[in-house]
Amino acid sequence: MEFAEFFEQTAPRLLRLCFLTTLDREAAADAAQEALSRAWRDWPRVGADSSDPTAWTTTVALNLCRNRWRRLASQARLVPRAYSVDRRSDVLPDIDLRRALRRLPPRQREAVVLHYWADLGVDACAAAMGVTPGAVKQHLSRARRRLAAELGEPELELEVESP
Amino acid sequence: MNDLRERLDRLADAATEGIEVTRPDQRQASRPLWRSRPVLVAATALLMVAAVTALVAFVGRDDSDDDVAVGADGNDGGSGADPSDAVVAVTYGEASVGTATVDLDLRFLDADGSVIAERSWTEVEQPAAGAPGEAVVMGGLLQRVPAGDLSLEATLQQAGEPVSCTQPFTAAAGDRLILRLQLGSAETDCAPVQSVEDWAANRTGPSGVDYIGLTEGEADGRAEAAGLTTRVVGVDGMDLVVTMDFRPDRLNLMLFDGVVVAAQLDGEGASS
Repeated sequence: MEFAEFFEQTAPRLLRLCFLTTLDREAAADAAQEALSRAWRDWPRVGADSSDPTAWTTTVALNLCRNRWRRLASQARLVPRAYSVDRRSDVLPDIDLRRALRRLPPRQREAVVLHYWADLGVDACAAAMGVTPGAVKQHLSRARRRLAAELGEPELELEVESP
Repeated sequence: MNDLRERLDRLADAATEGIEVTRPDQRQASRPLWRSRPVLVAATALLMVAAVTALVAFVGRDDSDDDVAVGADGNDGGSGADPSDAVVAVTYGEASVGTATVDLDLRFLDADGSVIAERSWTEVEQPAAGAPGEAVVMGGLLQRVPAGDLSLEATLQQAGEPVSCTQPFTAAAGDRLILRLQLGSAETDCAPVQSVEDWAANRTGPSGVDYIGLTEGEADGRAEAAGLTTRVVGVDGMDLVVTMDFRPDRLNLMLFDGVVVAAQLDGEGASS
């Protein structure tokens, strides 16, 4: 596959994935751009027939999102000027969902987004997150309980089979 | 599950609208021009500089009073705000101190009681590193509102018992207001209104006057050129916790809606 084709197929979805895991537009754009740039730099290897460029880019993007989250959290503790204002947040829909997602620990949020939004099975989630399938199930189980409580809906079912 | 997926979809679609990720190979393709054709690029740049210089010199000769002054003290500060709107910042609690996360919902209503915007305090909370369940807040929550008689409805969930209050306020076009939430027993006057001008009053020194109206980045650049460092001590109505050490070369900035509203060197008195 040519990189251009891969980019067209992947960029919009990757950007959305990054937003849902960070809930920050700027961070999402940064992470998606950087992950795609790295994929392009290493395209002969990443885009090889034996490789899965989508999975590779997803993992890189998630790592970037997670690292930024950690950096922001640490700055918030130590540096008085670490702040951010999302100027679009007043026009984004579904305040309940945003709040519920924001309250999930980052790993649980990743698991929810990968499994319930990106349609990845538990094994694929585990590969993307760099953890074991058991850990993914645990993250999903805890996240489901919290989301059910936050959103006032019955607990979601876990789909163990890959879609 | 489909419902959750649809909600996530809608949220992601709305949030990423307008964001463009550039194809790296295209970005790269346009880069080497100055390398492959350095003489051509340099000559073009020189021509452009000469043309701009000539234009500036020509315009500079005209001292007519009809010219529109563009200064650093403008209040619109390049924020791109609609001049018919006002900007309101809501603050709650102690500034930038780690506390338990707060379950606080805010609704801005117009005179008819229609909802202008629904916001959540979680939007400005950032997780405190190494302290699960704790958050720090590094600035007020900003909301652009139309001019008119409005109200802020705040609901705090506390140990399962919601505490609510409604604070009426009036916003004129161009107003910059701060509503300081003090949720307690009172159902009204729970969020005294303060103007940004009052918040920033007497917090600008003679060295800081030229910084008013600049963005933070512009202020940083100007300060650096003047041999100064900067730090932000107030954001969107909230005073940040800062160290009390004295550094005469440090300019303390207060920002509102991304623009400097007060600037003062350590130890410098306010300008009259």
